[in-house]
Amino acid sequence: MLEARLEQASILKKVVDAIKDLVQDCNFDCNDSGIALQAMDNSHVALVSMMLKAEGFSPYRCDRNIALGVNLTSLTKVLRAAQGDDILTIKAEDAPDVMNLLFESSGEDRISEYDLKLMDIDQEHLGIPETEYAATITMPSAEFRRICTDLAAMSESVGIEASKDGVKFSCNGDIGNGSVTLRSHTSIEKPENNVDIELTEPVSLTFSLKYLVNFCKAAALSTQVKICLSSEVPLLVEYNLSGSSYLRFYLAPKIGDDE
Amino acid sequence: MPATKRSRPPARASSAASKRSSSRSVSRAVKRQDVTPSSSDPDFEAEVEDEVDMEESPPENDAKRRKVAAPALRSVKFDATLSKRLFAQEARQAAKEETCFPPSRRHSVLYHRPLLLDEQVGSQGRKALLSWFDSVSQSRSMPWRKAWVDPKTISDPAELRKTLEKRAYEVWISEIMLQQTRVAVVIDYWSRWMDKWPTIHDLAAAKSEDVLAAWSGLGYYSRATRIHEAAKLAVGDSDMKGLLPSSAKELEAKMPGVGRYTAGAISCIVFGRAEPMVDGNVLRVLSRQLGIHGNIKTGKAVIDSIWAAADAIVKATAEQDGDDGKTSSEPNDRPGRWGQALMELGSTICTPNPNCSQCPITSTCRVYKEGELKANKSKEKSPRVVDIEDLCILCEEFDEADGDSDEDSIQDKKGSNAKKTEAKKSKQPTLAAFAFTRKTVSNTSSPSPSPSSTSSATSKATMDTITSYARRFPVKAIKKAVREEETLVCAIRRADGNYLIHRRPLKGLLAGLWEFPSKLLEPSTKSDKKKRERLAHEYVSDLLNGDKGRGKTKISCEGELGNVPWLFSHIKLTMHVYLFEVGDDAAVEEDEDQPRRWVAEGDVDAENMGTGMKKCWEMVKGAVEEL
Repeated sequence: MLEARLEQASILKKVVDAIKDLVQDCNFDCNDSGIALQAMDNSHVALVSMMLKAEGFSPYRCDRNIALGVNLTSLTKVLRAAQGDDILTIKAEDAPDVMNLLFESSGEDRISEYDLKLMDIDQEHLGIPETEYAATITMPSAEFRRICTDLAAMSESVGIEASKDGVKFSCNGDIGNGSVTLRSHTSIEKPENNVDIELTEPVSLTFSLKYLVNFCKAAALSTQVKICLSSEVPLLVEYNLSGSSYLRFYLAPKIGDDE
Repeated sequence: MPATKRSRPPARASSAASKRSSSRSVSRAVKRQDVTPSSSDPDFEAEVEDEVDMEESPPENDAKRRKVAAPALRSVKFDATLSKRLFAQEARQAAKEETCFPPSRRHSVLYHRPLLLDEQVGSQGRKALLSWFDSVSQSRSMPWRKAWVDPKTISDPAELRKTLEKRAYEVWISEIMLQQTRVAVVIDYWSRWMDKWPTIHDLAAAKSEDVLAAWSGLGYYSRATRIHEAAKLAVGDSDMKGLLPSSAKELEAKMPGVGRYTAGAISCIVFGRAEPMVDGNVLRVLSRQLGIHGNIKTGKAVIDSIWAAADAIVKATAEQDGDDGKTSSEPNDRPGRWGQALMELGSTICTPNPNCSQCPITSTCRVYKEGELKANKSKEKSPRVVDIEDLCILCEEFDEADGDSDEDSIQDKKGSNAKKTEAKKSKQPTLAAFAFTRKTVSNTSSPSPSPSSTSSATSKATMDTITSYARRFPVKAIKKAVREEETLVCAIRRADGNYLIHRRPLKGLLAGLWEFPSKLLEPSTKSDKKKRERLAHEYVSDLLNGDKGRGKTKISCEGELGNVPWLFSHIKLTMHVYLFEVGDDAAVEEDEDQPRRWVAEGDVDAENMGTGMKKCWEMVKGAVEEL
């Protein structure tokens, strides 16, 4: 039996919106520590890893580990029925055929309830190697989204270069080239605009913009985004949700670019 | 996403407890069903079941079998000297041999001393497996699994004899049925069989027709014939008088259809003797335990050494693992429990796609240890030097690139690509190229991963690596191509509603079963519908009118009713079904070799027919109703 009550339905809404273009079907793995999701995109280039910790729910109850195999397009349809400030309760049996979603509007005068049919998805879990990244950049998520969309207009891929001077996003397309450089920036009034660069050694890697633009859909979840880089290691883009819950994206770098 | 999807069955009967495993096995069954329209055929199921029948061939077939079993790769002999070095007294120090490093797996032949024979880890492992078996032995509720009959507890010799006779009979029947057939199917058949013939004497007195009928649907019908023969022989024999011999050697020598495995099983389970019982499952389990990377289907030396290992281990169990801690040479219940435990492990956990995290005896498993090394990315400090005299002769080369998962090969390819970056265009490798896979690979330039070996609980990633490593043991045998055959099944209906049937030869496929007259097409004839129809017509008119053309019964053909595809383990058979109407005067000649008779429509169902032929009959019945 799973019962998880989420104060803001919008969190799940935004998570699903952010990943539904990368992943079609996936398992929500529920256990006593929370609800986790891990899935690769079809071409196995990107990986989504989500963790909604039990603390983020009130109450949270999960007696037995269960996997809810969900088609994300279908889940989106159901979640569309929820208002952003609705309270969402997810329920499932121990060997479920359906996942039950209950939306209560905060005024408590409207309750809607949906059952979503589940699928059996044989999904392999990937081991993500623990990495100490050479560069960790924290920046406003909206800024990252802007850079990615701007550069995507010119080119398919972006070079990310982190050095002690700052972080430079550059692209080289048919119509020309462009770059955006950010320096460390601390603002006491608006901490959400901070740019923070932690560096152990300079790195330079190339990534597909198509994927990065896709990741940026998660900007709605958090004002800040963390980008971790190491040479010859997939990029990590992390959005923190409330508490220690997170939504992470991994992306394999492109190799052999003649720059 | 490497995902196979299917919608969930609306009602899920399977309980939550065993959800994972059960859904997996279901998925396999479902997949098979898609491929074949006739998955209920046990002859076919045999293949699904991955249980190798090593030796239950009739004596006359032995020579042929042996030839097939000859090692194809090299002429390795497994001889007494090697056996002694591996499995005798010295093996008690087996744990001293260091785990070898994949992928080179350089090791001396002494590496294959079973850790299960080791003084410390070995005896712990054996006890662990026995107690694991005791905890699960009833979960699949096999009616033939009963507590061992201790001769000491029954004082009356006549009573004891009767009990043993019954027990031996039960185990024998179950073992023969279980060859090539799934447990779930056998449970039913076994119970019905025991109701019908509760003792070996009842069986010996039975009619062979009835015995075949009771076997109908199980496939490999010669098993039934041989059981019946053996029962008659055992009852008639002045020594045995119905009680099977207790030694494996005698069982194998005296009883038709009882080979090395079945003999071992009866001797162990019923009489408590320490004999090895090695079936396909056990071959797999032990090849992993011993770390033999060999072919367990055709590698003679590999098979021989595993049998020898099984022999040594079961003797150690029988002698040393008693509760009182003393060694004993008396028969006891441990050999039977041990043998069944190995088989149970092989059929539930140490399957081709194993579940190492549930295994009770990883501490004695060479392959598990090698997998751990691989998972922890330990590197061999210096290549191990092995005395050339001692080089392992059992293992086949371990080809790293030859992994069975796709990720593996992608990884290797991409890895090498990364090094020779001469391509002008940038490439987008997958995550798998960056150790982002179930198999965490070494050789990344990333800072060293945090050592997980210190933690007591093995992490999921480590376990996955181990499991996928274990999956590569034993060496996968290349499957033989399935032969394709076509046959014309001619249902001949006389005006009085009777049908002609004949009996198949007593040897070979579907031996002794009845069928509608059938003609196997020459393999060369590329048959089209017209030609088949003509051939069928010729066949029927030959059958009814003889060569001389006397009698001249009128034959009218209703044409081809349809096809019934049928899969045997080695043949893919297509049956083309024809219906012929003949006059009342139709008669057939008697044939010594192939008895024929006319049967009323209502009685056809009761005949001993193969399941495939029954399908044809359904088709014929349908067509007749429409006429």
